[in-house]
Amino acid sequence: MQERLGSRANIWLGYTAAIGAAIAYGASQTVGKHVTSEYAPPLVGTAFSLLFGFMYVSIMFHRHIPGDLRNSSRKGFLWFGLSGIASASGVTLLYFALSNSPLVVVSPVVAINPIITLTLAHIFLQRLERITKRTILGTMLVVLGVVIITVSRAIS
Amino acid sequence: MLGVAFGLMAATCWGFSAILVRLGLQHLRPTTGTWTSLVPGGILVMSLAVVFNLDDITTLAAIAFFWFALGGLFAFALGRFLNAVSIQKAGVARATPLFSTAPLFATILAIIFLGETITLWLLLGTVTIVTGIILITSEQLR
Repeated sequence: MQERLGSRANIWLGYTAAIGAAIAYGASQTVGKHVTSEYAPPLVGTAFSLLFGFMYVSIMFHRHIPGDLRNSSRKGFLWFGLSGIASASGVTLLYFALSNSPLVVVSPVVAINPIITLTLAHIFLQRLERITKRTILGTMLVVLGVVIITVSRAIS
Repeated sequence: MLGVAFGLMAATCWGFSAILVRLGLQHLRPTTGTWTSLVPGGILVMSLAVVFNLDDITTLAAIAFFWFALGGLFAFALGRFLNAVSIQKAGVARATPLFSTAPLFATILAIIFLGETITLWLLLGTVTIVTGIILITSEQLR
């Protein structure tokens, strides 16, 4: 199941999916803000949202999951399982960060995540991914824009 | 200082998560991969919530579950799945900066639904982000 990047249509589909993910995450942040201000602490909100997310995904992809559980390489499950732990650890650490420092301090630190990801991709994915100066410059501009927006929102 | 250290660790965890998704996609499709990633993550966060916030859990209002369900739909059923698809199609290096623009969309939604105001900083940040996205996405067209 070796996946190759490179076809123009594939890459544009990837960009569209990435912007779709950003809109979905943005919507979830707006919902999360309402939840934490009205109903529950962030950790509880995330835990139950994860539970609901698991139920949705189980229903949406019920045709793929049983077959893949039987036939797919165990490595895939290992990598995705670890990615889930890493992602959940990130959320938990973010709460610890916010309980120790104000949002205006934490948000720009967290916003550098894409630069860290590019560095890790350069180290661990050399055979799978090509990282160019243009990608690095574009990523730095995106991070700068996100920092400007999150810090100005946290201050106001 | 401790907050900065935790923030850096959080960002590093998310970085590793994206790399692990890229590796996982060599063996598994995004649908089953997304499902797999939710199992250990859900157990970890639910365990921490029970340890640290048991009192809050036992006194939750019924309406809260509607909002949890909505948050779960956006963050995990849509966000995480589309994230995996974008990494599969465009690669980590090109997809990550694009889906890290979520705060921009959160701000736009907050303006629409929560009545937040448009500021000069928001416009400046948006122009900077869009310039970065144009740089990244135009690379293949050279």
